[in-house]
Amino acid sequence: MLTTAEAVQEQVRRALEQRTPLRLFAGGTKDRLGRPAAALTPLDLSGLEQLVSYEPRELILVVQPGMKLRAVEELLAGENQHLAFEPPHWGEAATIGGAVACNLSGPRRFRAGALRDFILGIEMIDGGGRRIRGGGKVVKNVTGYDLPRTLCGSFGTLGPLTELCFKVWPRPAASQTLVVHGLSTATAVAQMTGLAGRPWEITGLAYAGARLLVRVEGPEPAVVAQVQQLRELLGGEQELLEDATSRTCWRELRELEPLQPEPGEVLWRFSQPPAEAARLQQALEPHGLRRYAIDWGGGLLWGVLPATAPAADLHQLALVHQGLAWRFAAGPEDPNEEAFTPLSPGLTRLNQQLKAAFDPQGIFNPGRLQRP
Amino acid sequence: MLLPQPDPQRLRLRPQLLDGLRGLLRPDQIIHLPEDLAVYECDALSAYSQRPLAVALPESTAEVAALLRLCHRLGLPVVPWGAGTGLSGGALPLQDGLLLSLARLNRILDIDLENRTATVQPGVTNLSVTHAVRDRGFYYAPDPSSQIACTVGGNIAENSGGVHCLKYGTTTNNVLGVEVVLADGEVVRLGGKGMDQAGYDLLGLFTGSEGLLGIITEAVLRLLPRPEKARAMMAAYDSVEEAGQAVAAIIGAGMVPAGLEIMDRLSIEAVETFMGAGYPKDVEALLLVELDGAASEVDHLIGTVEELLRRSGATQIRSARSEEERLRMWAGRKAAFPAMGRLSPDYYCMDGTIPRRALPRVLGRIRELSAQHGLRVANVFHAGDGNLHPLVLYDSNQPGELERAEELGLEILRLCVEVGGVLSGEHGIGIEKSALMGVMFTEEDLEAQRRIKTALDPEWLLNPGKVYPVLHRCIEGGRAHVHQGDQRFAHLERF
Repeated sequence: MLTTAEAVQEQVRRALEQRTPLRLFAGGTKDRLGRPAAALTPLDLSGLEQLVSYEPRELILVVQPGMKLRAVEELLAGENQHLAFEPPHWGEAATIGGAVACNLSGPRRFRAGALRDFILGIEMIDGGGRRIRGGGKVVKNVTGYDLPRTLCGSFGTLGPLTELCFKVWPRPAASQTLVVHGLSTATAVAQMTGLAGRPWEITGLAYAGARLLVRVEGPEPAVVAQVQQLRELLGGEQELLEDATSRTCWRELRELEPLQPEPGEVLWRFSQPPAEAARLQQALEPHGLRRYAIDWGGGLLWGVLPATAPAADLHQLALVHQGLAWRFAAGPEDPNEEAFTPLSPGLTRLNQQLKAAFDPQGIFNPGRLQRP
Repeated sequence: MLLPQPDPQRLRLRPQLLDGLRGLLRPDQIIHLPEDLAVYECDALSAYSQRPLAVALPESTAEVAALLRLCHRLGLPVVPWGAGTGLSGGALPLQDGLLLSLARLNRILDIDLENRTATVQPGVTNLSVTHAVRDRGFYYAPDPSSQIACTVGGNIAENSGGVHCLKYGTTTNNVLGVEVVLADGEVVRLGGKGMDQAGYDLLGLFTGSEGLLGIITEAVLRLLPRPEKARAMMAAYDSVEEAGQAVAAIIGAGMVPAGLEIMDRLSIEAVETFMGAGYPKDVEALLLVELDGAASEVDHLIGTVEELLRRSGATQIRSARSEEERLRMWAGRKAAFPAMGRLSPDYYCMDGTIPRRALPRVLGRIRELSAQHGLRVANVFHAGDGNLHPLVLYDSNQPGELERAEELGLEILRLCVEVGGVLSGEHGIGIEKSALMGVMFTEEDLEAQRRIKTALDPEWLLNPGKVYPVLHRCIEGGRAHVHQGDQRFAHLERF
């Protein structure tokens, strides 16, 4: 079990000597995401699970990437703080490094920012076996290229991360969710794009199971006052979820509990300009859309579709709606070659150049992000 | 500072460059006479100036692409220029290169309030984005002090900040997409109106890359709803350290105010002499706190903040009772830089960021350094995010003072890195601090960053010498200073 950056560096150097591509993993909860890596030798980062430092008053957390998301969140909760980007776990073994590798953010993303907006510094091993640092350990920094952000969503293809520095955030004292029943998708999306422009502390806007969900967070008296304003504004058949039930409701959505695919079905994630969500959902209907939920105030649509729906058509549809799509693998046997919406030729070239700058021999997760 | 030396071979290509420009642009889009070039010889780091081979004023993405193809073919460097308000020499022209002004790409292309985005050309000024949407209840959050003049393109290149960064982020957190022209003239779009990007986060890489990776020709900006309410208060302390502890207490209590600013005695006195902001007299430190957001939340939290300030040892506390009073509190803070002109003929502004807990140590050391060098240092800083702006006061007419000021500034930046901080919080590295990158990064770290540059711009034609020295063509020069008399953009607020 590797537990230090030195040990990871050692394994990378051996792989470089032997020219053996490495398959990076930790908790294995995001395996259904992305293309298959053409590498058999595992590089297991789950042993790098130490807390390096946590200074609540500086809003700074430094961890090794294999630290479990659950452990990170418990640690922060002890100081009334949290990861504002609300990362999905998708399993007990989920690690903070895995969330970074996939740049995964939960419902608060449209308001608070994505994971990539909270990363401040990284240490990694590059494709020359060198241990390098980028960014810093303070909340405001413009010194040199922004390597930390560049590594977010890189799916392990630029190299293993060995240390991560985050900006953490105060956890709102109270959370309430106003549920409005009986709205059509189009009406709900219009409500969400309107509400996102209101100067209130709305931190969740979703449409799931034919319910519009509006979350307000902050100090309790302020939350109560704003929910009252919302009740008057929205009308319709309403229901109020208070603290624990509100938090559970959003955790279930974040963890995609209502959207687990059955055999013969595939889970898709579409990211688009918020106002496009209802039109995209309509366009997905002819492809056999079985179940769906809309998050991020319209910016994210989760859909369960038949496994037979041609991936290329769905990616094309995403592009038509100015968005992009991720196809999740149906299972371990599903190669998921068309996991991501194809890049434009110019972007393809830039992506290849960046990959070559970090990993000239192509030993990290080859093919995981784009066809090699 | 390391000033790139002009390459004689490139200097000889000037006629070919001018011919090429005339083939692509109208005469009024080309500046080449020496007296006209003088306008572009430096940015706001005015101590260092040199004239480019020519200035081009393209009016479309296609023209930018054609200009980059031309320079690529001739092997000439290109320096992008927004409004020239940068403080680190990022837009300093190169004698053997073309200066590419984006000033005429100044249209707001699309306001999309359903998706909360503004799509603008790079020459649009920062503040005009907010002006375009303010009446409809929105604004663009990053607010660098030069916002009436600085451009969106320059903000993205430098990842500009402002006084509200802790809560609302810097430019990188408020840009959703860009169109960029690469070194060889290819046009690529990164991101868009959605909240994810396809492939690597190149948008994150390009933002803050100081013009070294591509020329931005369009940007999709994230708009935010204007806060329903803003409340400000100020508290006086017997020491800057105590004011710093109050900041830690506020953040420790779970609040992230929109603004948290500290000024020391010298800065307060300078401001009071300069404009009379109504700050208390004879105090060592002043803390400004501003809360914004939903009215119900601001009203609830303002009492908590006041209580914390009271318990933190504040000798005086005052809440702004009107919008006018709130703006006056801020006007004083924003006048701190120009006010220094009343105290000293020259000042040298630093921009390091430190972990806030290191504040007592850093301030103590700055006092020692100040005494050792025989120069006064005024401190104003963005206390919430630990971004210090120590201002070293000196007189360039006194022999040796400039050198001492530079030496002192360098010591302060080393100190910032030593306590776990960074060289620049918001002004960028530019030409000013490129020689100091080794203080913060190892040679391997820097090599990794230079490999990215080489991968995207193999001939190093885009703004070479900025951020990372071009090692084979450098001379040692002095460092940055601002002289009262010749500071460019003297009318701009600086904070």
